[in-house]
Amino acid sequence: MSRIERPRVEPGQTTSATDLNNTYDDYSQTGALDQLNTRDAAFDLVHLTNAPILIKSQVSQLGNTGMLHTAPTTSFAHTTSLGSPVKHIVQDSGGTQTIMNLSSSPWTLAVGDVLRVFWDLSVYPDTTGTPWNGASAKGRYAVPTTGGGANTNITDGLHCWAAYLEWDITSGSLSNFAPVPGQGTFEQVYDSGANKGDQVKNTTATTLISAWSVFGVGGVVNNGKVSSQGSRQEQGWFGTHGMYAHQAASGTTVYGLRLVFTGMLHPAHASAQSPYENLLLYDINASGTLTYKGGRLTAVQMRGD
Amino acid sequence: MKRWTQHDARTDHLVEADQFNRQNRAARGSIAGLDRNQYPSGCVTDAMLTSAARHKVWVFAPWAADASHTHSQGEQTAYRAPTADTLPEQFRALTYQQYQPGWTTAFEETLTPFKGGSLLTDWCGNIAQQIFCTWSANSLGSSSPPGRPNDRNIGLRVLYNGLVVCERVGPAKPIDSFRVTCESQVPAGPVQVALQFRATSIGPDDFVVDQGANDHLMQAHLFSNRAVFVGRWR
Repeated sequence: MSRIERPRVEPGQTTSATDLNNTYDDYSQTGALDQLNTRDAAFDLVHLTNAPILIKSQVSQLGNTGMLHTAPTTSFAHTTSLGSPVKHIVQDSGGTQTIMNLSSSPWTLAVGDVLRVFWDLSVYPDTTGTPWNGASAKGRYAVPTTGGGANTNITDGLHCWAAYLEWDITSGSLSNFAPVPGQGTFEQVYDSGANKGDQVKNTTATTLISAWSVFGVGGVVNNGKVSSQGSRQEQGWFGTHGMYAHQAASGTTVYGLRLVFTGMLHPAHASAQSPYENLLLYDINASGTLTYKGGRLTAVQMRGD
Repeated sequence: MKRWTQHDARTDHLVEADQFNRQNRAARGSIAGLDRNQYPSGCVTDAMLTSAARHKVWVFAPWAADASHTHSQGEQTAYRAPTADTLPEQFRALTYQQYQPGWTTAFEETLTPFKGGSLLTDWCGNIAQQIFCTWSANSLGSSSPPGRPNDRNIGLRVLYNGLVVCERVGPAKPIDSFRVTCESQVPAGPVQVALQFRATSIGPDDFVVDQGANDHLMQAHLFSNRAVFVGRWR
């Protein structure tokens, strides 16, 4: 910690140029200004030779342009085989990937710098029929039936799509995208291959999108019992968004960022893990599509302190 | 009037030398320092600034690697059903067998050093909640047609030093992402930030147990949580 020793100006004293210059020299030493010896509101932007917090920023289009939820839009369907989970890079309706390309002027994160990334996208999850009621669909449980008889199997309604963030920190060729730190690829195998997905702890850059809303409209739910398996209520178009932050522990050069969709996923729990582990697993027995219009991918590089 | 910004010594309290020195230096900085009118343009270079001289950014990721949040894995852990009571196809999370409705601290962090000034919080994450009973027959008594909304949502709020800075009703879909951003002026000194949630309480018709395995049903959960705090001094 630096220390600045200089008597204060007393009332009635004349402040000379020498006094001011000496004081200024004190404060202009390398590494002399800290939060303790800097007067409140002493500096404004005009005094600073660099931007105080923000180093770089960029905004990129995601998906398609336009305000209305009409064509062009982009769609993809659920994973049908655990051997090849759907990984859909956000793109426009023509199949051109919409990524944040920084390769012409890569961002160099110094130790302590903070990379913050934000995204938003208008989405429309849809399906046909009632896939959540299929005998093999995940998330079904039994509740008593109104009027007695066998229990009724209903859904917990927790199927979802995931959008997660990847970056390329290898080269400007943008051929080495990988999940950002703290984010997985949903490729871990569970239950001897019967399931695939990822631990919830590996979803630090994930936005989840509800696949449907199913509940007991009307008098279906009564006194802890149900009279039917409920019904789906249209969610329509809605906005989804996310945020990711990373403080560089070592020098890192970022060449690009992109958003990747996968699904359909469903919550699970691995009781054998220690101390416990919540999971998101693919449900290949639940079908649906996700259509999206457009949005923005925004990134800023900030000084950490 | 100079305020105490580092250590407010009280009568009969012992004061360590470092506590006095830090306060004294802060006071000297305020009283004897040059102000903005006396500095020329472009006079402050990066080399002249020490760490956290003007601002500081905290990236808060309550992950297992963080010793102070061991095993939280980015999830709220205030309410967690026993593993033995959890359905394999649900999260180990909040159930109505254990939940005491009310604002619950999911994460807490003390931010230091904080000289005093603007503090911005950007909190993001995902939620899951059981919504099948979001419409039930007896939620508002007998009626015709039967049933009334039995609201389901997860309220979210941010507190600085115990004071609510922002609050929102929160997500109402079965799975959803959320983002809460707020800013407030905060006095100098360590700032305790609390990120809280409040799941709606049980309705009159809700079922809470899977009749097949007799496991407790998950009702709500917060996960994938991350937050950024940006402090900018006056």
